[in-house]
Amino acid sequence: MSRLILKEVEMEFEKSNLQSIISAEFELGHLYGILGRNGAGKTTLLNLLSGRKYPSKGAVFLDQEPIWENPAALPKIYYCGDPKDFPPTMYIYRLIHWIAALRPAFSPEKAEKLCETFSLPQDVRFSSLSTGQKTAFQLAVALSSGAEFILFDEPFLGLDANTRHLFYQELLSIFSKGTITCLFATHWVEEIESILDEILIFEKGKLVLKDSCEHLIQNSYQVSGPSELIDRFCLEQKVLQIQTLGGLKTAIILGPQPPALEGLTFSKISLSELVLALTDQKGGASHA
Amino acid sequence: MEIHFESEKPIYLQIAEQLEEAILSGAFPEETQIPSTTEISITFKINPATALKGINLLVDADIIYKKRGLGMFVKAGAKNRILEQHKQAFYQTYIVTLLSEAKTLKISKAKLLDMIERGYEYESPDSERSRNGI
Repeated sequence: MSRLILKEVEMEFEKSNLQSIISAEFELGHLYGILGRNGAGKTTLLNLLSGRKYPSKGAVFLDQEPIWENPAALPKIYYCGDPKDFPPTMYIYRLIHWIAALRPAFSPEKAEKLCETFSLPQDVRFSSLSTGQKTAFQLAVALSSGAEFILFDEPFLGLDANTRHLFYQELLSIFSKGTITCLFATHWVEEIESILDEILIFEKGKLVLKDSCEHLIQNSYQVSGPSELIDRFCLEQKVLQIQTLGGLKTAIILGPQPPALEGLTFSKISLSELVLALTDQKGGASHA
Repeated sequence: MEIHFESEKPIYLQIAEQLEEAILSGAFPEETQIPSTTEISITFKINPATALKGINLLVDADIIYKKRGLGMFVKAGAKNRILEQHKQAFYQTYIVTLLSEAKTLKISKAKLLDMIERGYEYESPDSERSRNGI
């Protein structure tokens, strides 16, 4: 049972003075969503977790081993999301063998097969691929990496619907074997929410929520009705968001859905709506 | 089969219900294999754990069973058991909802019973006035 552990790691942002200490664990066999608004720290987190960025305080561990410059741990982690990782002038078929030389666990055969599945040409330079094709190639490499922890940073950039569908097919058939864990840092929650089982929400460099999707869905709801009724009802609730439409108010609330009440309409909300409400708060208080 | 992600119903419940429907329709006959967790997860783009949770619900209900090393199979007598369960759920699913909607619309008990009678009369397959009758 592998675990990727972030132990009291300091998140730093060069451009602002934001700083925070984060601890979190990622267990084998889960599909995690790393969510948050622009500049919340999603990429910074993935860079720390994959050993691309050195934490000024704290450390990242794979089980008991620190991962920093550790040749035993690093092949088990793969970061996918930066096209600058690949030499732009290299031909795709050469690139595949170049990666194989660098990463012993990587399967060039699998990568070639995935390039075919994603209809990617192999006799062209990486730089001549389109944005979506570059993304598709990065995904093909990630799925062939042989790593236990695959960290996807905005994995759908420019990707067409057909290739996304093919990607899910490949991802889920590999994931079903129970040997990998994936982290998805993305803004496109509604695209991926159906496969996630746990999410982490970041806000200004702070981890504000870590929970299972099932628990979150069960513990949130939307209620609408006449303004006065909603205002009275919301007094004792943890309200995330309120929308007003004339005399009608709709509130998104964190907590178990109460039994029916006269005059109020209750309904479930999707994970993406919930994430939107959670990250919409000014002030950025913790909701956990 | 189709999953409604916006539905109030949890996805694993929808998976279980749709498998039941497929068994009732004869698409998955008794003693034959049903799709694997992986196949279901890929087809509907859902987490394999969610698919497994749906399947396990049917295992607990004695509808399907596991053949070691082979996969999940429809149990003999599953169709009847599903029908029985649906009959038991009928009151909660349809009658309770019907009465609550009737109350909202201020339809009296007599009127409602009358409508049900009319339904029996007009909605019979050989009736020409089927679906037009008011």
